[in-house]
Amino acid sequence: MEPKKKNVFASAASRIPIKLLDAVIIVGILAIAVLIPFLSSRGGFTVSFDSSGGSEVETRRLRYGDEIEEPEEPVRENYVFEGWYYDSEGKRKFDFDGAYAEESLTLYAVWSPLAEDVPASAE
Amino acid sequence: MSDKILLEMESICKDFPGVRALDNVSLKIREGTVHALMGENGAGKSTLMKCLFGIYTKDSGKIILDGKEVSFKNPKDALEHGVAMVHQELNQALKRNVMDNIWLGRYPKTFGFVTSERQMYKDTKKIFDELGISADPKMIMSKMSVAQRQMVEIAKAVSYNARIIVLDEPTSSLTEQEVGHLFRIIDMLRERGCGIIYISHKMEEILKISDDITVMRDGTHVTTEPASSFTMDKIIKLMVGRELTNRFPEKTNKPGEVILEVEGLSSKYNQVEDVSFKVRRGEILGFAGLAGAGRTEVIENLFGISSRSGGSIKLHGKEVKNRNAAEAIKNGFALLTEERRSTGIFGILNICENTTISSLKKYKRGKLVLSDKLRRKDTEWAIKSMRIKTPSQRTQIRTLSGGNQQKVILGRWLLTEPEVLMLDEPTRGIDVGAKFEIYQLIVELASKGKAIIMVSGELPELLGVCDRICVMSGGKLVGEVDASRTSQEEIMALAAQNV
Amino acid sequence: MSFIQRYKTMDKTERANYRKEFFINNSLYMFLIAAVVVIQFISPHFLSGPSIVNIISLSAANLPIALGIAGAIILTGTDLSAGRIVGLVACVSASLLQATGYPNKMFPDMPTLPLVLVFVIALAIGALVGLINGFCTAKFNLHPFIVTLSTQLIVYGALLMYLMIGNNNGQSISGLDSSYTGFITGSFLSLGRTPIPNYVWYALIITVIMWFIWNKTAFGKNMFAVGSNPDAANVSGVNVKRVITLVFVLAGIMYGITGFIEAARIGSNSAATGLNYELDAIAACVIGGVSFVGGIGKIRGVIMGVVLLRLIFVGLTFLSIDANMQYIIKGLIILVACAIDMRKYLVRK
Repeated sequence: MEPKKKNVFASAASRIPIKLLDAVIIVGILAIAVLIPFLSSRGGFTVSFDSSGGSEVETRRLRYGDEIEEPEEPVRENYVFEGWYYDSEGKRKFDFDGAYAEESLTLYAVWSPLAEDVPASAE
Repeated sequence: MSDKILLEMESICKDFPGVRALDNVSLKIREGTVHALMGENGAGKSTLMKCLFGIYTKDSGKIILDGKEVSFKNPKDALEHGVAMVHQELNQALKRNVMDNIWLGRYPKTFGFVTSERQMYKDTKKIFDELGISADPKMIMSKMSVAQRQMVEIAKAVSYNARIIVLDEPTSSLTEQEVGHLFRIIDMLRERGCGIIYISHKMEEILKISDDITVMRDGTHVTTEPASSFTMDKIIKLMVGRELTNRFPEKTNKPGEVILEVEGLSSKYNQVEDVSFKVRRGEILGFAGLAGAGRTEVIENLFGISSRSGGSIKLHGKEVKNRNAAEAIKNGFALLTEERRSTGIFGILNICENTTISSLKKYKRGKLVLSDKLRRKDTEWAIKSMRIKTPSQRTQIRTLSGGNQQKVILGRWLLTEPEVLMLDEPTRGIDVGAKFEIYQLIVELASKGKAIIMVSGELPELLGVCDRICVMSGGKLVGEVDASRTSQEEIMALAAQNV
Repeated sequence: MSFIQRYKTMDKTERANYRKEFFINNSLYMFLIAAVVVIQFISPHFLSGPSIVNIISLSAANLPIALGIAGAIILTGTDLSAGRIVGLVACVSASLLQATGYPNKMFPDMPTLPLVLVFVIALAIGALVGLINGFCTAKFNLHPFIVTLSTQLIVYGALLMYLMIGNNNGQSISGLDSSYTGFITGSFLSLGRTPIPNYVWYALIITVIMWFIWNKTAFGKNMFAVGSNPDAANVSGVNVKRVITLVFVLAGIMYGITGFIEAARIGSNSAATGLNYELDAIAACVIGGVSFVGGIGKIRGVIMGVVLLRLIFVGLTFLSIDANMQYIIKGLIILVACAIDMRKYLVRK
């Protein structure tokens, strides 16, 4: 018969004493129990606004459930502000109505160029 | 040999839920003696040893080593106090070499942390020379024979300066020659003043090698007497508690016409060459020979799990290819393998699953769904006919005794309704009572018309159960004898031909 | 003897021992449930109607991939290519089901294809990669870790190349046809006022089918036998190579289903879709009792693992723990789950 393939995991692990595993389990659970409140207190979601060439908009740090308020419209020379979008290509617009923080987010400003022709009446 | 008592186990009791495994059992091992421990499975021998080595905690009683009371926490603790165990199924790191295995955990170091290969080699060689072992300390364990690996275990025990060495079924995988070598080593250990606890079912050996014999039955100590006062019948009677006039059942099978013809069988990757024989309906054909002679390889070839380079197999006159196990089963062949732990049982699964795995096709309703009811029914049948002792169908098979596990696998094969049933060492590691039951089952199956091929290293067993015996030597079939008219000597002479 | 009878006959030390074992083996579950209770206390909206629907939906989205990977784990292997396969299938499905008239459509001249056709394509892709995984593992005796690591990279490369074809040029694919999104994320049943998306029911159906396969077919029994002891399985007449191959093909099909659902669920698919999905799936399996030892696993365990894991991560979000920090917790949970698994089955007592 061909040589038998041993379960590598099994033959290595069977020599580990129970006490070590018990320790791993207890320490692991305690670590999780401690980390959760710790990370929670230092936690929060960052909502950053990439103005893609316009004036800078401050990044917000919010906790879960906090409302995301629409910031002041950024300005950019020769461009019209179209709105904040999930992606830089302008495919999905972000709706501020009822939006609340549930994950970290980067919103992108989408611009369209100002019209070329100036009305004749402008002086 | 002296009368000084090295190890005394006094009035040991151990209970498990619902059963009293040890009831005030005592054992006294004298310095420089071989003390045999005999009893059926379930008699309590291994429980007693597990209490000694700290694997179980005894409920009451004392263990006294060299006059001091001890209580070992685990086998390593016992080993460090000079009490060592050489297991039946060796627990060794097969990918490492001999030295690593012996010195695992206490490598000789230079500069405090670098392991010194040279020192290990020297120390190992010293022990080997003392014991007369000729193996190479640098050899990888997996390349050594079972006999040699056993020697390494014994050498390991000696390296711990063990005063008490427990040998559990040491000769089950050894040839005559290797047994002789083992006995010489045991003698040497005896000279050095060690106490050897020898656990075995092979009564001829026990009578030859032991000084004292202790018989246990049903968790109690029956008697301890010098070996000279025992005969085989006496031992059996004490172990079983009743007269067992025959070790072997009455042969009620009557061989009929030839149904299996094997011609020119040669295997690709081992030395089996040009083996031809016939088996008749209702016949029990034995295969004898030394370890490595090719007995197992022949039936593995027949079953399709070993590659063939030539030869033909004809069942009922029709040629069958048996290219793999599934095909062989379909053609009506079954193979009970030598090592049930590695190639027989699915340890984690329960009895029902172990029993029905080879015949799942039978339980299909439609093309897909398996009927649990039919599976349970067949498992019930297997448990009843094989007289398997188990609390339920859903117990995990690895909690059963060796004998019962073997019966489950036998049940598995019978459910495939084979015509040719091939058994490789069917009673290895099984006690006398269960052995008899298995012989009975084999004879019963033969009398129902099955053709049975039985490979065994125990000549008395072959002579007692088989009708004819084929003898293998060096990969070739060197002789075929009538079991009722041959002798152990004749078979051994044939077996030694091509060595 | 039933368990209750056995417990009654145990003596004091054995009872204490049994309690200790029970406590440690289930310590992770107890801890996680306690954590859920605490989080609910701190942030009462955690177990509110809409939130529960959200948790169930996220679990349902992760269930098929976990069920697929569970098969590989039962065979004492693993499948690192799962996530990327989901990503590939998601992107392909999305690209074939974009709304007509969508400006950035990848194949602008393609009409709306029937959903069934795209579903079959999704399954086929998953099955194909699964076939490669299974074949290489079975035929060449390679460890699934190595094989699936390679396929993971190959599939990722294929995905990157796919995103460049047609009108796409590597962008993300969105603007899916409403029949597709309606089929997956639409709903006909609501909990209170929150609609339950359709894919929850699809996941349920798939779970039932997998339960059936695992428990009522010869293939399922063979899978557990091969996982428990491949040599014994071979001797018992099981075609080990075929079983291994089919387990991976089945897993691949599961990943295909996940991808098909995922594309519509998240709406915008890119090369990053599917990244590291297998980690969550494997974690869920280990927590749910599918052991690395092989041959052990229950469908209800996988379900429980997926739901529990999701509960915790939504909970952590409620505590304002950022996704990046959640990885640490995730890693620790997996570590503890593996230690418990090892302790249960491997350590010789």
